Amino acid sequence: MPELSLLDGVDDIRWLELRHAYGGAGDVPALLRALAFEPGGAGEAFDTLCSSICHQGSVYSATPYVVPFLARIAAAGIRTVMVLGLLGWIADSDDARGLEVPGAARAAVAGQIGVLAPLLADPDAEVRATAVWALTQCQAADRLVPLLRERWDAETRPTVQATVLKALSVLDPGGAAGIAEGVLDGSADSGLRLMACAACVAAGMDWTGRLHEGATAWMADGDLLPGFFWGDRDPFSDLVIALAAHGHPGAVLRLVVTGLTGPVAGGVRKKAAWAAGELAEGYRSPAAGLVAPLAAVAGDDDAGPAAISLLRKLAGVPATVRAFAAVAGQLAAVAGLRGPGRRADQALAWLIELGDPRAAGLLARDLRHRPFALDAATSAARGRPGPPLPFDPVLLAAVRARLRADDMDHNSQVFLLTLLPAWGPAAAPAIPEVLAMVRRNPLGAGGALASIGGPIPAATEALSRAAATGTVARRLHAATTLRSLTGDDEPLLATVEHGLRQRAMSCGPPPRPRRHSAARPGAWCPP
Amino acid sequence: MPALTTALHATAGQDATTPDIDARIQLALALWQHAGDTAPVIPVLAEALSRNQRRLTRWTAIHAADAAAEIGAPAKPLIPAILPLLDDPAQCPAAVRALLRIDPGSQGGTDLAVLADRLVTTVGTDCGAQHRAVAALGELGPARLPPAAVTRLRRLAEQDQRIIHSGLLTDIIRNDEKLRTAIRQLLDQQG
Repeated sequence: MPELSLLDGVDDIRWLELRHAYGGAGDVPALLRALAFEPGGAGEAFDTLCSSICHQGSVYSATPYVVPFLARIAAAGIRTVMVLGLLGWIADSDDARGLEVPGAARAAVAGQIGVLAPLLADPDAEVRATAVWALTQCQAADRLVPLLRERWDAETRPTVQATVLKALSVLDPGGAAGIAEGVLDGSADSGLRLMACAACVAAGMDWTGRLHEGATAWMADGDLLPGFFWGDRDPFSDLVIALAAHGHPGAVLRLVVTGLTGPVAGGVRKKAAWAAGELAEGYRSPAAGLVAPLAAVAGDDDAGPAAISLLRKLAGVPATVRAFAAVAGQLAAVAGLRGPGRRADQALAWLIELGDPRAAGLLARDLRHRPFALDAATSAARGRPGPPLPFDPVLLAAVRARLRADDMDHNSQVFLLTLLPAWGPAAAPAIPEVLAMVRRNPLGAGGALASIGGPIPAATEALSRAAATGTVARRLHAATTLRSLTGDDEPLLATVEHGLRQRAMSCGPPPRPRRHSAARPGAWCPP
Repeated sequence: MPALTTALHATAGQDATTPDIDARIQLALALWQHAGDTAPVIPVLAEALSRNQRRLTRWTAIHAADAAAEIGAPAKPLIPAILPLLDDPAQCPAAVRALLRIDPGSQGGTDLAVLADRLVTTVGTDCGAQHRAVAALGELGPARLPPAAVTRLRRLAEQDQRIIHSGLLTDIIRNDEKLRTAIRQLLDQQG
């Protein structure tokens, strides 16, 4: 297509008066030209256009004016899949910023249905599927349903068929259910059968054994619609959430549990664990019923990390207490796996969050390889939910050894200096190791020394140094701790005065001291 | 005190940014806490409330309403600027608390039933202020809640779909459960 017809009229638009995410839209014509006519610069131009006119789902006053040019570019076969994707996201946006007419961006894409419709029959299956998704976001059912039905009749690729069926279930649920019944009666691809079940749910049909069978058929080989794209949604998770939303709590739990513990192909359990996560984050009633199946796959290489991650989120939920008591042994076995490994780390974090007495010993044994567990162990000291990890002499010895190690990263250092103060004077044997860290981290080490040993000179010196250097927020933290420890107001007043002199006061209120009462300066209280 | 006053003046002006205004609120409040003089603080809070543009300065307006609540009755001139905050679910709890502290007798001329209704809407909206809304309903007086508000709260406490969907990924489920517990505890106080 010659330049004139692709970008015809681009210079008639007053781009300087329009805006996108980064300000004035004066750069849009050059970006469109680069996208359409400069193969070497098209990729970068497309990326810049994307983030400018549809930034993280937001659209702007320039966006509707760009749409007709994008539609022509896509129809001309230039980066068609990517440009169709952008048009779909524009039509999908619910966050308009500075648009003259509400809904103008979606309407602009709908206005290009005639230009884009031929792509529904493109020889490339990915183009056809992306065109179906993008056009569906326009929500123009009257114009799109006939086109989609025509595509359904002609389409032979299961992934594109599933995309068309999904589109029809959004725009014409009743009609889609009729098509879905036909799919379930035949011997269609297992992924397409799942999509047919989803169409039945969307149409408000009852969930039956036939639908359960159709929705789990894909689990035998684990191949669920390769290349399927519907925004950022997974077809199985989508069905799970739709079932829950239509009030089928028993059916949805059975479906997820089948994926987690049934005789399924590789990769299915992981997908089921992710769907279980979406379900538990969206609805309350499945929580207790998910605990045992998730624990059963906690040691699984594939699904284990997702399963344990979800179990941690469910810990503390009243309805799950009994179910957790029944599986504690299973999870302790996973936490007991030696050496590096996310499963063991997450399982140990879970044990810590539950206050399990086995936790401290397991953490001591593999402290270096347990960042999640160390994070959980210091949650309470950082004001986050969770029980404090009680003092344990074996763990203290491990912490001391770790503090002496050369390979300790900054996060571990911070966590360990947070863990020790929670034990108060019982952590006194670690004072030499903490003293060795004062030069590198006067605030963290000084605070730890103060909690362990009270107003000892090493603590007050370190905190005094921290109160006189660094950012205002860190100075305030140090000076507040110092005041709590010694009752001396002067360093805090000097720090406040210093902060007030800074024109850009970027700090918030000073953090509350954790173990020392600001109301009773000088009153040092062992934990 | 001179340093507080200097910093307050240094952050003034037409080109003041949102962090500048946040800082001014805290500076003015500190001056009021130490000197007890409302003269410098009311204009600062009025300015912060007048710049309220939901998305960009939502939390600044909340901080201003919180400061007004702390000041209490002397902040009465701010009531007209606080009332629009009732329309935004995220700002509503701070506005109600401010109205109750500034004007305990008539809540800035707003009916208790209206305040309760707005707060219950906040409880059911994933806006980061649900726990504050429950606390504000408690401050309003559990026994004084209109039957319609109680019915909606009961429904929210028991509904299967989670009310909280956002926040730190690891905390969403627990926060939702805590919210249900808080609502039930509020309803239990009805007597």
